Amino acid sequence: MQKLKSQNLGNLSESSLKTLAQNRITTILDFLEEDVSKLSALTKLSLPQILAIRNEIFTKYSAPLINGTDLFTKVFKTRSRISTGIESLDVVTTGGIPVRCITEICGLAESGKTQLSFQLAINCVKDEGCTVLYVDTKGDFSAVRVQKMLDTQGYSHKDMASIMYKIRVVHIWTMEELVELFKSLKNKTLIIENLAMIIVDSLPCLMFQHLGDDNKMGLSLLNVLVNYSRYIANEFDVAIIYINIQTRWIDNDISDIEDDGESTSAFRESTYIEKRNRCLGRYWEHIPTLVLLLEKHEDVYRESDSYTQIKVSVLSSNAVKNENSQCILKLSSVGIT
Amino acid sequence: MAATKYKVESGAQLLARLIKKPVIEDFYSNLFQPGLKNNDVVEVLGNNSSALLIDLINEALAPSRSGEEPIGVLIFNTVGHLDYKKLINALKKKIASSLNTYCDSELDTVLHKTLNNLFILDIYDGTQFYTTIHNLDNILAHHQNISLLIFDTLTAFYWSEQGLKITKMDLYVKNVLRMIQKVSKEYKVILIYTRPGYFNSSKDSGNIGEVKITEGINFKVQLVDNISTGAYEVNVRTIDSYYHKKYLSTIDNEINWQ
Amino acid sequence: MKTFKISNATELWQRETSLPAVASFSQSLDNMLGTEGFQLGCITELLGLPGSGKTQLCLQLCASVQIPKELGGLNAEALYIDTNTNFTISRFREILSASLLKCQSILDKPLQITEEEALNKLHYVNAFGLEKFCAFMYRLSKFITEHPNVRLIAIDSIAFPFKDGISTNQRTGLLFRQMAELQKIAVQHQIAVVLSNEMSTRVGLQGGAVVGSLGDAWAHRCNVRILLSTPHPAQDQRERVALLMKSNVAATSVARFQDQRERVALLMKSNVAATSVARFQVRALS
Repeated sequence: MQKLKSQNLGNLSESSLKTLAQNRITTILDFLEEDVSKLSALTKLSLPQILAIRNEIFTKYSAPLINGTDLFTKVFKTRSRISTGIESLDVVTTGGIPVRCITEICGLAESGKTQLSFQLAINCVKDEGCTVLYVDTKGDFSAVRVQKMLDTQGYSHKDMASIMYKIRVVHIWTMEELVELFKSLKNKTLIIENLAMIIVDSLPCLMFQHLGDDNKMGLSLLNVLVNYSRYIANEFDVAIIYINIQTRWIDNDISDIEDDGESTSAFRESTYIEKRNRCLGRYWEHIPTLVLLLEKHEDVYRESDSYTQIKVSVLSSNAVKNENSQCILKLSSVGIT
Repeated sequence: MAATKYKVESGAQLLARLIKKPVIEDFYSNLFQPGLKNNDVVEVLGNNSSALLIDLINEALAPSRSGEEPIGVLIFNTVGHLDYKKLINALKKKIASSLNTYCDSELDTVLHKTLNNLFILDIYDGTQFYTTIHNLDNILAHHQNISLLIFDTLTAFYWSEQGLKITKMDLYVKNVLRMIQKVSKEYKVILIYTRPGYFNSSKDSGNIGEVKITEGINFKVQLVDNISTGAYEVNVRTIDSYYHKKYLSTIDNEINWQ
Repeated sequence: MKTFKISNATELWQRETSLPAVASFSQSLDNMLGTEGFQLGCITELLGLPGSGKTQLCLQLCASVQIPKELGGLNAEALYIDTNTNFTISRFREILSASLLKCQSILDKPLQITEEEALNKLHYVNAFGLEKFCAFMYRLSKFITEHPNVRLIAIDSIAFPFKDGISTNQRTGLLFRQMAELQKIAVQHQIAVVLSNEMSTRVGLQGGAVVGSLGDAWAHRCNVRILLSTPHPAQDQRERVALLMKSNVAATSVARFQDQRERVALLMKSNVAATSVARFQVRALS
């Protein structure tokens, strides 16, 4: 919530601000909530002047009203999806990664999340001619790997260079830094030309740093990050992808004991049920519009061509669950196909 | 409410206020028994409320029953979950079926006219959220046709506002509602807001059948997450009743009430 | 106002290839990794039961980092953070001598460095206990600034300090904060980091009950993960297998190898290689 002070609002002088602060009116919300005649009395400004300041606040902070017909233009004239470049994945995601939305890629360790993000970044650049920002929070980005992928796919040096030029990488080590980065993008103090996709690898790496603390600083930062993400996605037509992780826990399920009142040492059989948990908590759970769940399926070893099969399941917050929400991808030296 | 709140308004606003607002009664009786009327407050609890919201919005913009006047809709979009493409496509279909025409250009004209009654506010942070709520007075005064106010969701900025002291979730909802209703009541709008499933202070909010409905809320709608494809259950609580409803969702996310 | 350094992939490629990786003296292991050794700027995790050779490999890397430039080495220093007292100076001396002799024999001329000087290139830190460990990790950035020629940091082991006295959440929080700092240093100063982790049992998991300790969240953290095998009593003591479990550059693979001190490394995870196995030899003069 913005403080009153930092705004250069019309007639509010330093002394007025001081008086208001003494009366516990320090934020914009305080000002708006307060009775206008009281404000007038405190600041010695006239009523119309107070109302003018109110209007100034509204102009500056209130959201612009969008009419349905303008919405129509925006929705149908701009692309709503970026192709993943992988046919089967495009099918299950109904066209690719949604633009103006937050997408999540999730999976257990070693399920191919980082490799998929490399491939998505490459495909976005080469197919759409756009720039991709790769936010690396764990040092996983490997230019050598990306180059090898392009090389194996048969690109010329010139083409490789031009693709790699458009993949931008920034190293971020804390949540605060990530929030700052997104704030700079929103405010346009940091500009990346032709930006179409942002990939954050990975979000838990930053959020876990806040575990064990009693305060809810982590969640607060996450909320702010989501706010900035939505702005950047929606206003700049960008697709934002966050990498999340899954962890496993075991449910010791004890099957029903025969209840015939007889022996106390009835036959108990423990069955272990492995459950998987999408990390980052309940607040985050429903933030992404699209969630891609990755699972390592099978390793195939062949003389000429070895690869790993990765199963991708699609969880979408809006769509009806249908049968066609899974596909198998191939991870090999050439990348993911 | 401050008894001595001095309300200053322009001549236009005064006039606007005094003009009689359309009387709404029995809106969306597929789900609400009785249907919604002016000043009703509805809480939608659950995680996949988009389909329901879209259906509500389209029903307001293009009422199924002939002779009914469309209701202007204002949406506070705080989470970006509403798929506008789906909304517009569903609206187009609805208009087409009621007009009994599929002539594109005619459809488009009607569609655009219908969309004129839809207003959206994209809210990106807490400051903007509260400021816009305070500005509702001006917004509603200038667009008297708006009678349905939707907040999706009401709680999107909760965590960003918590500091050393944490406000209880239920209290947070109460406070925001109070702020909104200071304005909305005057304009006799129907208020619908969504709230994620986990957003509760108490543990027994799991089954709304057992908990008495909060004061000031007319309908509490609970969407039940389900695993099977297509069929969705809804629990509805009012001051004096509790009932269940079911709907089927088609491939285009359209709702067919059972 | 903070400014962010944004590089493009080509610039990073130049940086990544500007310096060689830290070789392990075992060709198959280095091949398996896909980067011809332990990559600078990356954190590699070594997993294995006691006796699988994690400490030995850490020591070997501390020696390898000193390989002269003429042999394609880094001619640099190493930092060894000891948390589990597995380090013995005699063992390191052995490995160091063997490495230096090997270099000498390849170069076919005497080395310019004395054993004393070579030993000084290893910075040993006693970090027994959680408090001491945290205290040093806190000072790490300063240490590296004061020792700019360090190109390898080995932590043996990362799990030991966290064994008791700390809740799971606190442990994860602390670990991830420390890793953020460590990775930042590794990337900015181009340092290879190798951590050894222990194994623990989690009954009921689909993939098998014996997993690396520190939990599932931790399993995602390191860029490269290698599983080292222990010799099976019934089998040929020299037959070992290693698995590359994770890599950001190489595919999962297995390396089989055979020799007196051969260890097999399993590349479990890498950001450049597929999971694979390497047979590798660790020679040491006895």
